[in-house]
Amino acid sequence: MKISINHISKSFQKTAVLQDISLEVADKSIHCLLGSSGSGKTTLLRILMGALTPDAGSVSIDAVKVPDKALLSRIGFMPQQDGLYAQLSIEDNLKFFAGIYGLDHTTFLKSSNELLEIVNLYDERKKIVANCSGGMKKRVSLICAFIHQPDLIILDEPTVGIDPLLRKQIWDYLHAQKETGKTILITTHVMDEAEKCDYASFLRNGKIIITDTIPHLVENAKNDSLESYFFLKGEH
Amino acid sequence: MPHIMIRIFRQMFHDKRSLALLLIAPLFVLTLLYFILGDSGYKPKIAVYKVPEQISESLAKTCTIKTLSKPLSHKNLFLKSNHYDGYIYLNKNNLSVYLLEKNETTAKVLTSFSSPQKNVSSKAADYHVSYAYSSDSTNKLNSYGFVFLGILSFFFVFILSGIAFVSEKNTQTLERMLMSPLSRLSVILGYTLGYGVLCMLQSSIMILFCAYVLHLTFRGSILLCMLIMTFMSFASVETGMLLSLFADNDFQMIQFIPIIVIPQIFFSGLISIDSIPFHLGNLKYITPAYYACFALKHVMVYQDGFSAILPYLSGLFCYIVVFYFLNVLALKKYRIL
Repeated sequence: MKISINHISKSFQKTAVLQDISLEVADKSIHCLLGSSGSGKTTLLRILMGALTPDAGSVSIDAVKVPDKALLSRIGFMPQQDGLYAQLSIEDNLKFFAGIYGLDHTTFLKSSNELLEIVNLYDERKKIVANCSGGMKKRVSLICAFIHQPDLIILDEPTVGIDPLLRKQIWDYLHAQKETGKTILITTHVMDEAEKCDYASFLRNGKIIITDTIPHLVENAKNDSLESYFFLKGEH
Repeated sequence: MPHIMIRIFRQMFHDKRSLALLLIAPLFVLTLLYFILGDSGYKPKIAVYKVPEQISESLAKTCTIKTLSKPLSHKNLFLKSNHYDGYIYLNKNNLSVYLLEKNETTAKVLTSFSSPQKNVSSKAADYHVSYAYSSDSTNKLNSYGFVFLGILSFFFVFILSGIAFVSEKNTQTLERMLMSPLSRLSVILGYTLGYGVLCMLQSSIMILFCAYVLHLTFRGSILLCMLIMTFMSFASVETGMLLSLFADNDFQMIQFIPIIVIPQIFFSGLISIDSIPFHLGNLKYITPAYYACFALKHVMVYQDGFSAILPYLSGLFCYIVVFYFLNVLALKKYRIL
């Protein structure tokens, strides 16, 4: 799914959080929104999902103007926090989110078993979420976003607080999903994450400083690290 | 929408402590009220001086009498230091009653004091008081059962639904749910029915407990009382949800309790609404406790049927519908469509 963001601006109590943001997210790609805390990443995602109305500008996904309820069934979303019901088991959480997307029992079982296997949680599926470790919760939260086999997946800082091994597993899974034709939009404030994407957009003070493919960015950075390059760009 | 209901039931089933609190806490409070509002058989202690024998004898039936040999010079000090509730004495030719304070205990003295008077005065003063609706029970919970049932149900359900919804916001499960194609109408309906059914169970248990364990007087149909409590549960769920949408955390939600719950007490029938000044009594029409408690009173005390409580149930129904749509509107804060 292709995302077109056109001249989006948003303010909260006279504080401009997003200023004239324009961005194209290519179909079947992994696009990263990189920026420090408070740079406007989550606000942009909320506008994309139709949770917030922009003060100016518009968003369209596959040429359909947002907000559109039908679009939401094709999007998977993972919030910054886990967004899970702590008193329920891993399986019950998946069942609930599958249910609200209208999955029948057979499709749910097929999809959940497959996803649980990928994140190594199949044997733990009956475990109550409150008793799970932070890493397990993150994995459950991630697969909840994939349970209804969406075409576009929006992940808000999915790898925060995740150990390196699990982070690698998650990235492998995201790349595998991209290969099946899905578009993934991910926010992060970690530079290493950006290097694993096809495209990266650097947000600073509510503005997009630069958007490019990772190879181009690395090439332009020359001897600098991507981090230094972004900050240098941000200064100008 | 059914998925939200089933999920709420599953959550409650797994969270045994919350389930126990939901079902047992109101019963505990009702039991406590039953004992606190019961009659301990306390006899007010009265000092008397030169009181006619006939009056003294009559007073002695309900009070502990101490006859003094000389009048008291410091009445207040004597009553306080000797733990007496009152002093009755002959002042010239009039009988004077001096009571320590105006409360339930001293009211008992006045009641016993007024009864012998009729014997000593003229026949015209001979009167007999009878009540259209009264109970033989000395427990005051019997007289105010309708108030406590309504208020307790509102209080517990309000807290449960409010805190549950705040927690949904804080853990971002609400955000995740609202990013699905579910409509705002379905989300609120799912929550209303989910928590409403649980709270309906709670209020039914409360009614049965009062009727068969505490043996409170239910002159009318218990089923009608359950119906009223069901309406009240749904009204409380809607109120709790609406306020939780404006609370950022549990602490803020807790602060809504006195603002919302205390006015319910004012209009529940505990205080005579007719005596509230400046037409403030009309505020009763916006409090669900008024509709629920007065409907319960009609059934429990007046033994009325469905037609008598229909206006109250209609009031509660309107309240539920209005608050349901207010919740749907308030949810717009989290999703435009």
